[in-house]
Amino acid sequence: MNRFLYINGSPRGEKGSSSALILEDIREILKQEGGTEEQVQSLTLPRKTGSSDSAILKKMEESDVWILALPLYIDVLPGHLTWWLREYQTFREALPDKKNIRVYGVVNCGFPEAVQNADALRVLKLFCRKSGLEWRFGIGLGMGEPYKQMHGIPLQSGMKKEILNSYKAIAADLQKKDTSDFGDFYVRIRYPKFLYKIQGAFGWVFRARQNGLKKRDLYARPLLEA
Amino acid sequence: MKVYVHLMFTVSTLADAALKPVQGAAEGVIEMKYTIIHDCPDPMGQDILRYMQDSFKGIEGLQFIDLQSHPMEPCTGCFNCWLKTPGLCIFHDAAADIVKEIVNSDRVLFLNPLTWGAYSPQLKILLDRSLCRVLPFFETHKGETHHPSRYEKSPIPFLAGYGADLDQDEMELFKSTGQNLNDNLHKTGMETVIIRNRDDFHLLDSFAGTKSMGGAA
Ligand SMILES: Cc1cc2nc3c(=O)[nH]c(=O)nc-3n(C[C@H](O)[C@H](O)[C@H](O)COP(=O)(O)O)c2cc1C
Repeated sequence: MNRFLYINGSPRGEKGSSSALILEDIREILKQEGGTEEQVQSLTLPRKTGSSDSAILKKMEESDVWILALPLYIDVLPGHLTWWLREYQTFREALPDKKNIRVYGVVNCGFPEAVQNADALRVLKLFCRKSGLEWRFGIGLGMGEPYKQMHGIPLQSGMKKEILNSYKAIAADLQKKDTSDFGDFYVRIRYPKFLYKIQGAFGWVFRARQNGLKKRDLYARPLLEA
Repeated sequence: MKVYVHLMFTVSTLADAALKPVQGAAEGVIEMKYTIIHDCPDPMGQDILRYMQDSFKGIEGLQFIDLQSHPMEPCTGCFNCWLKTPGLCIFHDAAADIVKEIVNSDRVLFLNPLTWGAYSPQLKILLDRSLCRVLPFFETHKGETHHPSRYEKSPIPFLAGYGADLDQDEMELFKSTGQNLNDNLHKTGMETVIIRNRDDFHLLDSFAGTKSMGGAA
């Protein structure tokens, strides 16, 4: 039996996060690629930390496959996700028998270079090793912030080919019997980096204008002591 | 702590590690502000903390901030600190106050238990909340995209991670984590140290006091 758990590690949660859409897309691809899913559950880890929730930790434990999607925050995992995974590790350490869980991680970042996600994937891999989980492989996704705006472009289009192939690799890995390693994927939508950067800058100024701010207001230094 | 700044022609005194020559500066006194931010939830961390409290005793302008005793709201990813109230977070809590202390420090040390080669949860929550220290715009730094700093001056960071049985992968990753923190938030000289036992405690000495002055690259 393959019980799938789709875990959203973005503090933006279900609405408004690229991670949520990434999970939705992967789920769709896994379905198309052939029935590996038997029971599917979703979990959005709460942004709030400080008090644990055994229902959440149990849900994480009672699965066979995790697909974990998260944003890159200051080069590694977001703080709240670090907190929850640490809670889970402690919880799992106390269990008398630990059954296997296969883990796939997808990290998306705001910068165009997908490789900026490499260290976050290394962190996930170490987390799995320390917690006795089976790390399979990771996907680092660059230009992740506009994943939402570009969601209308089908995964099958040429622009998203790399992304699609990495999602298909999860399906292939789930189906094969051997444990050989796929290695990590670093992908992004095919879009010129310079255009992305220019549009990014315009985008920020545009959004600031909507908030009634001028471009120069964005440079404020409110925390500086005289 | 007072640092005596001499004219450049005092280069001969460079060997004296307590002096920090600054080109063109007239002789004067500069107040240094040191901030030690620590997340030490276990006995090993507490031990290290006591060591630092002893070694840095009497240093003026040095403060300790305990992350364990400050609940902090994790970042929501709203970008309001870039686009709505530039430089300020929507949450007005301890993390906001600590970020202000960092911005106004000359040197800042982060001490935390290495967690899968990266930061502890508490420290990471604080670092995420530091997004307001950079601007939304892109710049290229060492061939990769980054954000320019909001503030001209950045405190020189010192990242210390500890753990009793760390493996090679964790330690290598932590060094890389420190480098990334520097490239992303500080872009100044940076030290990353790993403390595995008492023999390594001395690695923290160079953060403050007379030995620190050479490291401000
Ligand atoms: C606190 C914070 C830190 C971030 N740090 C990075 C970073 O180091 N590198 C990067 O490329 N993007 C960084 N980003 C951008 C996010 O990774 C990006 O917006 C991502 O698409 C958000 O995904 P989500 O919608 O799934 O949360 C950061 C965003 C926030 C809010």
